[in-house]
Amino acid sequence: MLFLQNEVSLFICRKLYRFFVYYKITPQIESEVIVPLAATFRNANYEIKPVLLELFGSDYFYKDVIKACYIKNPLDLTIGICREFNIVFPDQTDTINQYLMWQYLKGQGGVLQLDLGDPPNVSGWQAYYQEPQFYEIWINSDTLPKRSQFSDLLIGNGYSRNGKKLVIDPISYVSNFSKPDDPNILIADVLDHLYTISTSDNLKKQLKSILLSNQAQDYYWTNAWLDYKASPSDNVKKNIVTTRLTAMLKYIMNLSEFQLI
Amino acid sequence: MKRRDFLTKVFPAGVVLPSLINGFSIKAFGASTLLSALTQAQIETDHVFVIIQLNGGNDGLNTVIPLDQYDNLANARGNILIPKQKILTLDNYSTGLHPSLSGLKSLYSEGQLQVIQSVGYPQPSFSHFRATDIWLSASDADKNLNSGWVGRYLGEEYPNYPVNYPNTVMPDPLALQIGSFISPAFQGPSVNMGMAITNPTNFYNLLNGIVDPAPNSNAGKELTYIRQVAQQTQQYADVIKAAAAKVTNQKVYPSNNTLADQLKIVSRMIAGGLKTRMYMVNIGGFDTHAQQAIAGATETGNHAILLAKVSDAIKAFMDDLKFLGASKRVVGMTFSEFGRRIKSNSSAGTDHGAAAPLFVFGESVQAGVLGTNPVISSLVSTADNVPMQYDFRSVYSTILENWFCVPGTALQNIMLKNYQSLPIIKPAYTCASGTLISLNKDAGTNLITNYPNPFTQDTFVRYKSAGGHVLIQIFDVQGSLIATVVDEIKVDGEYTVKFQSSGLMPGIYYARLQNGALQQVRSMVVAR
Repeated sequence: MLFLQNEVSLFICRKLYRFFVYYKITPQIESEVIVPLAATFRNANYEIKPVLLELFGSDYFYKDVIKACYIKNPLDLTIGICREFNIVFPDQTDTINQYLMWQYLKGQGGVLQLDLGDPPNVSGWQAYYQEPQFYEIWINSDTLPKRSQFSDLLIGNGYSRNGKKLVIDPISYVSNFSKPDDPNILIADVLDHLYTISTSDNLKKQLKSILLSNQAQDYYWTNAWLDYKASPSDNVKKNIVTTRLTAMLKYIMNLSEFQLI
Repeated sequence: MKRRDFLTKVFPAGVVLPSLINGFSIKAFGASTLLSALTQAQIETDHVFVIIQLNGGNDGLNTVIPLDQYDNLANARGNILIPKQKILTLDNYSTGLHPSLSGLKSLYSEGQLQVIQSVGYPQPSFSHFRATDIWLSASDADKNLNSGWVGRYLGEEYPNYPVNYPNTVMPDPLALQIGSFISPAFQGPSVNMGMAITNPTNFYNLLNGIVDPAPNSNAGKELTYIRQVAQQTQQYADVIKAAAAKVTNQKVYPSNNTLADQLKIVSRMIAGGLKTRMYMVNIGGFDTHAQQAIAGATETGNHAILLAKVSDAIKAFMDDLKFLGASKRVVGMTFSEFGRRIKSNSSAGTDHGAAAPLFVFGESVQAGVLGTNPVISSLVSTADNVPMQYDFRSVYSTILENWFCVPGTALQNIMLKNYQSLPIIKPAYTCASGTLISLNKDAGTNLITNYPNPFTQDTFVRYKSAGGHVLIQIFDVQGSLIATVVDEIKVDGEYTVKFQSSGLMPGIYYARLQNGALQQVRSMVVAR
């Protein structure tokens, strides 16, 4: 009886679209994306998998105009930073400290309005259903500065508890990239890794001026990096590159672009 | 915090004040550190300091030219030296300015410019990055400091920042950077005390209505949303906008001059009534390894263009502040991470060097030249540098002490050492005394000599102390500190100390005497 109504398949496909693509469904998207997906859904006898295969396999899904529009939820941000920078946690033999650090991240999620395991009501978090703002709800005048404070802490002094520390190691982070001694390649690689949205040359220029302390020649960074690599235990050389990487990474995480995935 | 504010905030009406603290009345503690500690009151001042950073290492010897050394300079850097007749001379001194610095020259004539000769530090670094870090943090050359000197000062003044800031006592940003990101100089012991006002989510937009384009896509829509929230959440957005709105008419600033653009915003913020004490602006491009000056017309070229920008911007800034009635509140300073070599290179440029002059300007500044011309020898080799006369941290320390009235104990916490106090601020405006004029009277007398000179093994350094702390350091021509031969209190009188050349290569060395605000540099020659 219920499954004889087309509205059922349309309703479910809108939900899937909102979750995987974008919350705003224009009449054009309704007719060109939702209606065909709903037909697939019905033809497959209400199996979800063929619908998702069609969506993920479509050219539409990879168009720039619909990408990178999702605002990170609090855990995307907090756990995301830990993963992106490969932050070292106390290992599993040190259970207590490992849990204390996990608890800190969970707590930060709560500060940013997603307390894991404790949704505000039976509908779950508003960001997933509340028209018309959806996940814009995560960002307000209280949570946005706190998101920056979280990233500032981890790229700065780090979070210390019980003699252990969660902190970003900027040198080990950039060492993973193809050519950290070349400021242009390094900045492009870092932006590729940390941002999903593409950026202007102006921004890249600005980031380079931070990395180069406003010097005009790229080789000053190259030399500083190579000097450090040649004697990694030299604290002065290490400090020179750390200071500049820290300033640049902090700046990248403070820009609005960092909130998107 | 004003005492009145403190009392009205903390005590309900009707409390009997005179028996407040162990029976002493508050008034008795009026100026003491105890009250200051009790209230965590910052020092009341409307003074402002503007720091102008010249990135790249400015060539000091073509900026402030020692006229009495001209022949030896011609020998060392003939391909870039400014023609003698083009140099702007400073009255009463055998010192001249680059012809591009006409704006600074007129500030000098109006009694608003001090040139401080040969400012540097022991064991200079020739790396831009390291030298910049040293200047911004005010660390020793062999130490890493993770806080900036301005940040430490603001940390002393506003110890709980950012908790409960802004508040009624300090409603405004503590420090403002006009530029892309906040200078490490503003880094406090734990948090950064400054804020930048050019970046896309910040005040530059508010001031100038510029918003970086967001793409026309779903992502662009969300980005715009986040940026809007970011603007609304800037704690200081309202006060900055209000200050900007108060100043509707400014003097004309030169165009195509990024420094002038920045200083124009600073002037607007100051005249608009912000209580912000520290501002930082910068201009890059001073790394003039090649084509610093044009052959045949050395008063033109890249360096000339840059210096003109600096000079014109500062002149316009001071004129504007005067027009807006705020000039008495402002002192500014230029600095660069290092000077350049005495000897020029064959590409009509100069390579990374050490000590260099800096400018301090403002109506409250003692006009003149502090220090003596650097002595240029007739035989300059590629690695030779101008020896330091003044430690840059003495300049910072003096500004904090005499312009911001920071007491001795706090000064020690901020600067981490005791630096000499220099006659920079006019006595009428300072919290201390000592004038440039009385110091310059002593400039002609030899406070430090040595005999024999040249010497092979031993030489006797004779010096005069006017009382107080005496420091005598020996530097080599590259600026490295070789030895500290005296570092103690010496009562008024003449003294002699032996210095041994053991282990030193033959060549020129400098003995630098520092006694209170006085210093002199004596060149000594070690021979085989």
